[in-house]
Amino acid sequence: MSETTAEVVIVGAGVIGAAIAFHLTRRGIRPLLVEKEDPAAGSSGACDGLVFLQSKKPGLHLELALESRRRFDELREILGPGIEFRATGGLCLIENDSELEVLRRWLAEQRAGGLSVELIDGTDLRGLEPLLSQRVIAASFSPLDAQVNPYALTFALIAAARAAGARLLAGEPVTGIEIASGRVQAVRTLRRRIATPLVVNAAGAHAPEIGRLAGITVPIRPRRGQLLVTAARPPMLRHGIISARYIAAKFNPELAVGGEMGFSLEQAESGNLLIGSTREFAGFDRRTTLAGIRSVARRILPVVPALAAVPVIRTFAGLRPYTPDGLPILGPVSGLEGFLMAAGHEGDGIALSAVTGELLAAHIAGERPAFPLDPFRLERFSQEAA
Amino acid sequence: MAAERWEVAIVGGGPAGAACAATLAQAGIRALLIEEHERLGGPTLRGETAAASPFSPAYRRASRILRSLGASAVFILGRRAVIGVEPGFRLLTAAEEGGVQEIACRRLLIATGARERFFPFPGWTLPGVIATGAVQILTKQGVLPASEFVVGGAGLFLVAAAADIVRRGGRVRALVDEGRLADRLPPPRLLLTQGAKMIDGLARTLRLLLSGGRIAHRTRLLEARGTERLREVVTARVDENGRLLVGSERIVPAAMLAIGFGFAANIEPAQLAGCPLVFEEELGGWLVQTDDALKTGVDGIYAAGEVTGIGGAEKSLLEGRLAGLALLEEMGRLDRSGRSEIRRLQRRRRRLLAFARWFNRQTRFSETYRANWVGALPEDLTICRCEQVRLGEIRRALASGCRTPAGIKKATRCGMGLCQGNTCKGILQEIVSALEALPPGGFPPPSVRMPLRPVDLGLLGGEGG
Repeated sequence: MSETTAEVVIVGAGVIGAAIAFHLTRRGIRPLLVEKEDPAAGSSGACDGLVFLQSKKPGLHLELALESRRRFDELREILGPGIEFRATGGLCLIENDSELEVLRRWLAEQRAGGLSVELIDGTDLRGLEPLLSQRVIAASFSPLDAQVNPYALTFALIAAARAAGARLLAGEPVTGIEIASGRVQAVRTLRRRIATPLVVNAAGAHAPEIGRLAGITVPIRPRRGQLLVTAARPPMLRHGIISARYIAAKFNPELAVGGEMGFSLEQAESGNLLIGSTREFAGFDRRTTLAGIRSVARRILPVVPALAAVPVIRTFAGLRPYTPDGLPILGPVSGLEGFLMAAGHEGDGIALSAVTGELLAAHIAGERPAFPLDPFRLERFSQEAA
Repeated sequence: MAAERWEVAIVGGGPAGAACAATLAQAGIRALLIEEHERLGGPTLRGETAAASPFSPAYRRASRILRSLGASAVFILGRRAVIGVEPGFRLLTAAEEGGVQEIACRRLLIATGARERFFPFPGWTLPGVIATGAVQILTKQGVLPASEFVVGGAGLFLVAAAADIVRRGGRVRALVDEGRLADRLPPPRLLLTQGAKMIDGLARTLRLLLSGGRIAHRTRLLEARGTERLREVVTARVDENGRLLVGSERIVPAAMLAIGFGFAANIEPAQLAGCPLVFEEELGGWLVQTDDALKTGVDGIYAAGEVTGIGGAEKSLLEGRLAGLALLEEMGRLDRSGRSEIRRLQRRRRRLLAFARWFNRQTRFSETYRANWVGALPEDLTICRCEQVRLGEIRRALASGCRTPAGIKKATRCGMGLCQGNTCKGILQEIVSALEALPPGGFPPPSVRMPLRPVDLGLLGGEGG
């Protein structure tokens, strides 16, 4: 077993760990990324590429997403076109009057929160996206919604971080975290001991395992999302698309009961269409299921009938790191000095990666983050329990 | 049919699946036999059975079984691809035209055969370069796609393909084999136990040589050249460690190049069903793990034929019969003579496995050899033809910190195209293990997800099943 040292050890080379590493190197701090498989092997490599603002709850969540979105413009300049970031604008499709009613209120709050978003009727909508069926009665549109290639983004962040001095150990599961007098001392992997004063838990759905190694309970659960990938096609869709059902269910849980699930849809730069997604608690099982993939197909067909003739070539499932309140867990953990959380983004990891990287890096560098981390800290759950 | 739950479903109507179905039918069990192609029999028998080699009793036996199936109680579902398998014995099938269908069964036999392995070289994607297996199927149907061939790659199957070409009146200008001549000569033990196969092999070799075909061992396909399509093939000699011998290059004009580098088992349906796999280089790489009675690690699922070890039609026929008897035993439908037949078949199977190991060894090379082979390939060599991923990108992905083929797939899109990685995922594993100096099988098998064939979204979301 070899010995090494690091200023900061980041556990997990998904998009969150990669973004933190990237933002640290911009401050002259050179972290060590430790990944049990390969970069983007978890949820970051098994998701769609929607960078959506419309879906974020007005308030903290939306503010965080807006800040992240601003930083994507900068990231595109630095990382280049390879990340396939495109400001396509996004549509949130409304299929009935009760959804429309919820969306009216939602949009008013989002506008008050600083998001540029408008309601458009069915006719105008089909002008924007001719393949949408009459079943869609209206949509909200935000020009800020965007698309990116999630794994290209993860790999580009890591490449830029490495070029600036960060190190990556892939294929090395973390097996222990050494703590003495309430302080992190070192991280152990199968192959080495890494002496370090700081550990960032960016292990996504596996963050509870890393937490346990440090003796803390992290209330994240893997929530499976199954997606379909079609063969590449000439441009069929211009915008990123989600279903208003997701939002309606957040506002009014009754709408979710017994109703149809939501959906997401995008055409990647490669021409492949990505269609999602189930939301299931199925442990760490990353298989796709007949029921799951057929339900996604059945859901999207009446909305975009032209998809019937497009071949599905692949399906995959990612484990979204779900938290009970839908917000990520970020920042220090009381009683354990040197241990930082950066996990639990559920389906927002790609969209919130830029701001998460910035906030954690600023905190580590001793700067005042652009955003207070307090509302995102792990302690919020124990307070609830108390 | 969705409501019906079949006693046994058999995936794959090659020699193994057919033999199992016939065995079950004899005992009065009505099995469902699902075959992707129009005809049963697999590539060994597809087309005219009359064209099969007279020295190979396996062909005659298989065609007899196929004829018997027509009149039996077996329900044959032809031109149906199994595109999904779920634990709990549910299958999703797709017809070439028409819908998808879910099928439920109590027991399952996986007999999904093998596909050819390829090793890339400059020009391997040119029109005019085809698989030896494709040549075999075409010649059995009486079609010769060109008059002059070069046949190349590794292993004994090259001789079989070349002989088929000659028998159809074609000319083989050269047969180019990576392996040593000494390794091509069967050990005495196999001569005794596998005499018919050896005579067959010898007959084919003689036919090739008498036609003027030249066989070159320790020789590599260096490049396939041509602008619109293949015009000539460049070959070169290699040393015992797989290094090119400079100055040994030869140019052979050819309208068609048939390539083959051995076979790999079609394990994907078994993977989806949750069956544990095993890596055995000498039996073809990743295989479905089975016990002596061909039971997989999942209760009620059996595997037979190439998926348990690449070994040819005779092994597949035997295993289909053996799996059929084992299934009958599990169902309490086997008498004492059946049980003693099981033991006889198990003994014969061990001999066939010894042959299979020798056969597959012809297409496998040492770590040093493979490292030198891959090391000499040019950076701009296409590895994934669907997504146009080149070797240099794979090297860069490794340099960027990826460690496994799964990571490289994400970093480069290698294997993400319309063919679902069926051509290049094996190549990627070979190349990465060679570049990383890892033994073959050093990585987990490529992960697999439904659908196993592209299927229109409208069918997947349709009401079928």
